[in-house]
Amino acid sequence: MRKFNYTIKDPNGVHARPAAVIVTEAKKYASNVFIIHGQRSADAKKLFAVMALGAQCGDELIFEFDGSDEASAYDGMIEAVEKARL
Amino acid sequence: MIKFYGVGVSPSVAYGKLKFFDLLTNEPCSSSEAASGSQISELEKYRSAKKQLELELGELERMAYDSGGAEAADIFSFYRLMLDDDDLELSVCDRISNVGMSAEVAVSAAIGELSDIFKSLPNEYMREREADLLALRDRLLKKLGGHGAKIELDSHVIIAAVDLTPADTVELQGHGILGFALEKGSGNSHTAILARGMGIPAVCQLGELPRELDGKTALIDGERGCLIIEPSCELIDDAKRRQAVQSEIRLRNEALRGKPTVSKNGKKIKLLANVGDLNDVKRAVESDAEGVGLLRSEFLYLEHENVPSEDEQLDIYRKTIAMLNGRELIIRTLDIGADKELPYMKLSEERNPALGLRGIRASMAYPDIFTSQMRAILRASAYGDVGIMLPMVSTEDEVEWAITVLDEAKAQLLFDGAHIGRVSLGIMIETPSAALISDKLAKRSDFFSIGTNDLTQYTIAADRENGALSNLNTSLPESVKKLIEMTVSNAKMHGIPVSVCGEAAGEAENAPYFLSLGIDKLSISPLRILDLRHTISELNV
Repeated sequence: MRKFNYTIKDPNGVHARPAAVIVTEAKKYASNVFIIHGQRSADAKKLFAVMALGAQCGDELIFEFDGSDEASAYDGMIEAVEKARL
Repeated sequence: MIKFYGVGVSPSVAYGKLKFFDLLTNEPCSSSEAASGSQISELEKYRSAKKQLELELGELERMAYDSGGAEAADIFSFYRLMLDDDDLELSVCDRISNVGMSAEVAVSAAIGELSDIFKSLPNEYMREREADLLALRDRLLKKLGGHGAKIELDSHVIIAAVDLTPADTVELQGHGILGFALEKGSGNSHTAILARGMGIPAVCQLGELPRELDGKTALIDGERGCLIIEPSCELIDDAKRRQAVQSEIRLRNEALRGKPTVSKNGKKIKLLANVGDLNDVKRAVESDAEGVGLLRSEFLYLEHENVPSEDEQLDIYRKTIAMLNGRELIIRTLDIGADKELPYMKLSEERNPALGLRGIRASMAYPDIFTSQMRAILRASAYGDVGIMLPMVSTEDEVEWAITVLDEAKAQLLFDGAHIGRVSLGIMIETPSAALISDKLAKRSDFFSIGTNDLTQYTIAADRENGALSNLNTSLPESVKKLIEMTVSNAKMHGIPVSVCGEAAGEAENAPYFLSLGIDKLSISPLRILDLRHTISELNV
């Protein structure tokens, strides 16, 4: 398993576009991808679940990767969230 | 004269009759009916409606991209992700199969439940996304009810509505709408983004608009954020003046339709269109393009589960040739890399796909796919001349390889008795390497097309999607100009034509440069053709 922490920079938090970026990236991999936000967690491949986290600007998320291609999922997600400046 | 104040979200003005959107469209289907058919057919009904909606959203995404750019198109990719969400799918199917609901009731209930999630979100911006989910529901219900979402409408009206979904906005665009007056909505709303992209005035948050205003004349002023019912002559005159400037531009452009593109000093250049599918080809003809300078053939492959057969490809190329009716056509061979995956072309994960196995390199790794494309194009040439253009070339060997494949395919087809027309082979100059050896490449090709986007990215060594580097990825930096000039002079020396495709080609400020260099053709977005023809007609080059 791999994980990284990420602090949300988008002023509107994880709204439509950021959630779409995360879900689109997560769906590329076979591994399970989870996002943990305080007491809640969500399957990163599910759009409504990701939005329901209600993560706002400045909140810290933990991304967890578990599965056969977790290394590339980890790299891919870091690149995707940084590129989109979430 | 009655005046409503709101927030202008798309700054232009228009004057015309007010029409209420909710008085035009069908009521959403009633959702109280019990299931009529068997549950299996309800499931099928849901799946087929979902499939139809997926296609429609894809189409809207393309339309939005053309009129409003990437930001507008993103809205529809968000819709598609919502539609494709596993939770939604499970919830609908469970309600149909296990609870016995009709597809309509199941969709309403499942989306109703999901929309509660949005209501509890911590900020306003996120809560506003509930409107998108409800818009998706209404679309899906319309599809289930078998209603097309087509709207019957007189053109030249101002649309008034409580709010509009992005899909409504894009569809209305085709009806010559003058502007939008919304009771709710916000500058953040997707409709506002789209209206700006289309250059139509829009005003939001006007408060309740009485329905008896339907059919009255009104002035919508997106610059000042107001809607004026039965405005005074003075106000109309002012609006007319502002409108006149806008329509003058349109008229001026129309006058150039069918004319060649010539500067004041008599320098000629051809304006061609970049296209990504058959709809684009239609648009290119409508916007008076002198041909297609870049047909991105990827759409033939991306929409298929399996490799498209040679006959399927031939069919599309034949249709394109027929639609172009004698105008020139240049097809770029499959330009795919690890960033766009095809199920039948397994490209392994790459650390840096921009420098990876893509374009001609990927074709060399999958020669069968390339050969089948060559054969389809050669067969299509029986119906009209075609140019083939190789992407991502960086060495002579790559070109030699492609020539060999093309020659072999031609020999085989001729042997089989096929008819082949005139086919030329050109090279995209989009790597610094190709520009630097353009003297050698010119001997082996019939034309060059300079792809400025990639050429800039590779020359400056800056990822064009990295916002932090946008100061480096400017339009035509000096180093890129040097490579362009080298390419053009080598092409001239060998007597082959040069075109430029890529964003820089469509930018008005670059026109004098390309014209004075003696570029033969510019291939640009269909929407920019007449504007650029006008710009060039005013140049003293």
